[in-house]
Amino acid sequence: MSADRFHLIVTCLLRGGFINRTANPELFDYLEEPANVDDINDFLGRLGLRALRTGSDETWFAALRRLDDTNRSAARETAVQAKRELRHWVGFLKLTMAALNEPAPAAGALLHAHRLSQAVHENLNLQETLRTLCQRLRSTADASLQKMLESVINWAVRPEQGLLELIDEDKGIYRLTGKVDWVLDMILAIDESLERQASSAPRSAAGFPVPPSLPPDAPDA
Amino acid sequence: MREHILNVIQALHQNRDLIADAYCQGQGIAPEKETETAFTRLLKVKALTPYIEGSFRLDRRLRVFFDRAVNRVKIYGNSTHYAHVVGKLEAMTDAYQSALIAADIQSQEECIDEIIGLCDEFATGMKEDIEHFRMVVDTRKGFSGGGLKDRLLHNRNYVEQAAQMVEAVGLLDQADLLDAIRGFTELTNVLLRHLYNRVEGSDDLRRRLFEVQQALNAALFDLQAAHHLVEVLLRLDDRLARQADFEPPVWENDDDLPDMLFRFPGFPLPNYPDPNGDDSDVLLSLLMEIRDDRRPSARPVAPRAGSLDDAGAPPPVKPSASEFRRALNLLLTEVDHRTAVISVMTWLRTQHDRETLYPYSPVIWLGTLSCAIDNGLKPPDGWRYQHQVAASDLRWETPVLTDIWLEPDVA
Repeated sequence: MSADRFHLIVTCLLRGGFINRTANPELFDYLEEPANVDDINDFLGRLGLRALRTGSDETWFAALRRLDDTNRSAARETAVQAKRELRHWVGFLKLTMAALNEPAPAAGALLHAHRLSQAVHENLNLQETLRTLCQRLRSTADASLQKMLESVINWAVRPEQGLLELIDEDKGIYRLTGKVDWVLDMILAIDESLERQASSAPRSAAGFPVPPSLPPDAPDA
Repeated sequence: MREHILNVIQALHQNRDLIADAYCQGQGIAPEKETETAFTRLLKVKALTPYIEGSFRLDRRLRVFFDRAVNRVKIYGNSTHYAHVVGKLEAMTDAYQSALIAADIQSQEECIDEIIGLCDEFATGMKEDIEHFRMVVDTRKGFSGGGLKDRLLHNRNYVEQAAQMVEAVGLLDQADLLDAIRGFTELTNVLLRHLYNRVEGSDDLRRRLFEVQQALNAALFDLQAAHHLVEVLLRLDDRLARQADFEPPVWENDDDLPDMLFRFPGFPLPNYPDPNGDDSDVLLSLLMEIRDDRRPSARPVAPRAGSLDDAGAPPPVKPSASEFRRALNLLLTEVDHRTAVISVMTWLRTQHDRETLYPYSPVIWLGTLSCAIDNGLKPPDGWRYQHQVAASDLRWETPVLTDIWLEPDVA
């Protein structure tokens, strides 16, 4: 059984997949043992890889070992890709946050399509976010809200994006995948870097406005 | 007035089932179509109070009344005012002091019972609060209109509430409670004995408080992380919305690159296990091939310190400039005392000052000297260097330096 799990984990990681506590509890439990992680890392090390955890400690993924310039350029390529996708991710997470049970989006959280639809229909700000996201995804921005939602969900479910996985087609229930944890880490890293830049540069030359402080009585835009 | 009271009692009596349900269900009860009138009436007589998500709960004082009536250990419900309890505790201490002065044993016993009850109430209220807090956080239904900022504010309120509770729990150690009583040694002893008898069984006050604190801290930690995440998301969204040409940062320094950027994007692999019942032989053999091609698992182990095999750290390959200078000075001193030819190799081998030459072998010293000579090291006045080289046939073999002689320079 453990050999089986070993193969499953390795196959998943080598495919660029994520192992999340909620989505893959058995595989995640296997990785809770430090000896098993060593075993996996020993294996991945032959390919110049290692298993890493996201900041929330809830998701594992395969990462390049920091060895040479090739890997550095690969990392830079990932950064460029992340820049390209950043607007989509932020828009998508802002949308989903409106329909989750959790206080904040996290891998493993369930997303009910009808709840999302209800939230979007009730909130103009979210409608605007949805429209912008659809424009960026080159989807039809002038379609109905429902159509736009469907296209966004389909985009997120697509294997190359892999932010959502379908749990129950009849009830329209989806689950946020482990990639969401990775995306959130990415967003936090970008934000941290921006904050550092903003604090080091003079305020007048900062180039972007001061982050909003979100007063408690501020009405929703 | 009497009629009014009778009306209230009648309202309670007519809706006794509802009241019993409300008392038994800590999560509150929600009105249905047929019970809407009853709910309105009970709300009017203040028997029910609004709770979360459109549900209602029995009024706190009524719950306390029922608790006492059925001798329930749990006395107070949600939102016990901790400061209020401490105030009552102090008042009760004063009462105990008076009873002590008056030597009224009956009153003393009553005061002690009351004080213990207050301690228990403190802990119970706290535990219920955290349960309520967690229930609200866990079961809060999804976003219902409003706005994201509302949600953020909602979270912030809970964070603040939780922070206050954690702070309150910090005061809640048994010892702190006793300190709050500002009691005398005798009173403290009596209370300790009573508390000990009381908590010895199933209901350990201290353990409960500890659990409460742990649960609160965990919930607070999660909530703060979530709160921070939502703030960052909204901040970034705001930036993206305001600046069309917004450029995310570039990490100039490679060392600053976050781990996330090193994610391996993956390559296509056959399915495992194969959905068609195939044993996925190709994949397994591929994986095994990589797995078998590993380093030997037995790694060389360093000898135990002090053991016979422990030779210490390996020496550097050649002496440093200062070490060479010291050794050369020794050699020159020897030259001063002699007039005959000196073989450096023989001198190295017979040199008693091992400390200076340690840990390099004579061959290494010879090689170093040869290099120095090649680099322009001059012999002492009146002497010259003579290299001795071994090679059976210089045409085919590389000559090997075997010795350097210091000879008096006759010329």
